Amino acid sequence: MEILLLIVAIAVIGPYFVYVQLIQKKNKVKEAEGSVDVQLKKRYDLIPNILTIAKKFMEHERSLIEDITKLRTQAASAGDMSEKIKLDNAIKGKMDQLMVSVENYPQLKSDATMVQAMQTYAEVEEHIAAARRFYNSAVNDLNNAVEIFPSSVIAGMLNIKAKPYFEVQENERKAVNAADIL
Amino acid sequence: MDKAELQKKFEQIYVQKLEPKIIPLEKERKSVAKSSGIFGLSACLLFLASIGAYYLFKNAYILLLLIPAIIICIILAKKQNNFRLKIKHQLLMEIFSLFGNFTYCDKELITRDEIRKTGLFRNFRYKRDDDRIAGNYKGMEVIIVETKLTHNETSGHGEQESSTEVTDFNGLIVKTVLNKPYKGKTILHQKAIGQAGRKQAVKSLLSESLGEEQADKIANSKVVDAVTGVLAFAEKLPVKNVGLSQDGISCEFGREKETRIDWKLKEVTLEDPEFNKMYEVYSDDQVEARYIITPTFMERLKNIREVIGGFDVHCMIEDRYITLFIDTPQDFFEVGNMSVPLDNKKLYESVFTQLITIFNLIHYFKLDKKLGL
Repeated sequence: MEILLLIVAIAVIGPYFVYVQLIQKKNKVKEAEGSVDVQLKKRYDLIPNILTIAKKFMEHERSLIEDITKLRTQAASAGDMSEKIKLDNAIKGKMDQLMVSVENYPQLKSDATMVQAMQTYAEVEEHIAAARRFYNSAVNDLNNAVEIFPSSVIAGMLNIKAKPYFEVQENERKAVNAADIL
Repeated sequence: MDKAELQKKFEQIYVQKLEPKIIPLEKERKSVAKSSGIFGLSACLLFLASIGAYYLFKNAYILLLLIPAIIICIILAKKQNNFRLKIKHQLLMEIFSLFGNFTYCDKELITRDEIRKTGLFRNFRYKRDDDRIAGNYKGMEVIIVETKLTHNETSGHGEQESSTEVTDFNGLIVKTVLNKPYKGKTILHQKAIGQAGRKQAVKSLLSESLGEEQADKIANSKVVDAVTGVLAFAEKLPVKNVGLSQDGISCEFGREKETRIDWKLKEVTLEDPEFNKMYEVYSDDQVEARYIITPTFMERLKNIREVIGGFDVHCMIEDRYITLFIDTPQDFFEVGNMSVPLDNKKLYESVFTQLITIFNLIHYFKLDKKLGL
């Protein structure tokens, strides 16, 4: 009888613990998503300021500036995380291009407001990188639970799915050639 | 830091500033040591005479003779301490001037409460500062404190009860400003060093006195290999601090008991498994913690023993300050005392090397540069 009770207890408590773990991991991913959103918003708020200053000096980069403005508008209204990741990677690529182009405009490069804006942008970038790491860590925990038995069974019943990682762009993976910069 | 240039400057300072101060101080030391010897001897004689007389005459009033002996001992201790402080103020600070504008402080720079709030040393009750130095290095505020944190542990019962002093931390606390704007609190507690880390610490500790080559040889010897291997293995065991007493075998499970981290701080799991084995990280903000603990920072902290001969190296980052707790058996900033002649250049060279090591830490973490790493 006692053995039977023990088996029943394990059969009830075991899945409950797995369920709790899964929900905790799912919520952690949500928390991380929120953190990424906060940091991305900081970047999106900063972009118009940088573009306003840049427009004054960068006559030849009009199309690049327009691309960034368009992407920013799209990203600000994106709902799905995978869409956000895609758009953010595109914005980051374009912004990096813009920052490199700034080097060709000495007057703009030495402009005090631009210097300040670039410093703030670099800081925001670091925060985004940190938020991305937090998100990936949370997603990794969740994905492990969703894909490994026995939690995978309960995850399937609760319709909890694996989430996409916030991966760096292909061009960020490449080794930097110092000669291109110097 | 250009070591050769600093060495040249040190030679200059030694000849121009230290030597002229050492000569009168050495004279003073000899005379103070002489008078201390005489007073010390008289205190001993008074002590022996009073005890002897008490046993001979069985008169408690005779024990009053102990009072002057105690007074003499207190005066001597005070005199020795004053002399020690004098040489620290005058000589040690000259060596520090090579690096920046520093002062030797008498008041507490890092309080007991401040350390307690970190939660890194949950058991400590007593704090004994050996040296407190504060100042400015390349425009950065730097505080260096050599301290010892201890608590007493009692064992046995009734009349057989005895108390022993247990050291929770013995080493250097280095506090300086961060190169990034940071608001929040992050704590990094070293839970394991590993064999490679221990060997590196041994090498760094010995290289100061024996030179790089000899230190490397010893650190890679079979004896050190075996000892560090055993210690590294013991780190992984779930059972810690096994002890035998009259009450039987006592032991602690896990190392969680060593810390008492604020409940508001949540554990941060980072992406480097090797780092996670060595450190447990707690922070009030998961993103801000990762903003500070970048992969480069983790790499530097893992290999910190290449720079300084320390064993456990804990770290606290709060607001705009970073505080490193470096547990090391090394005695820092000893430029001499009443019983050691002051005109020994090696003493100052050794302190100079120690300072290079400490300031190298700031360079190692690139705290003096706004690199964002």
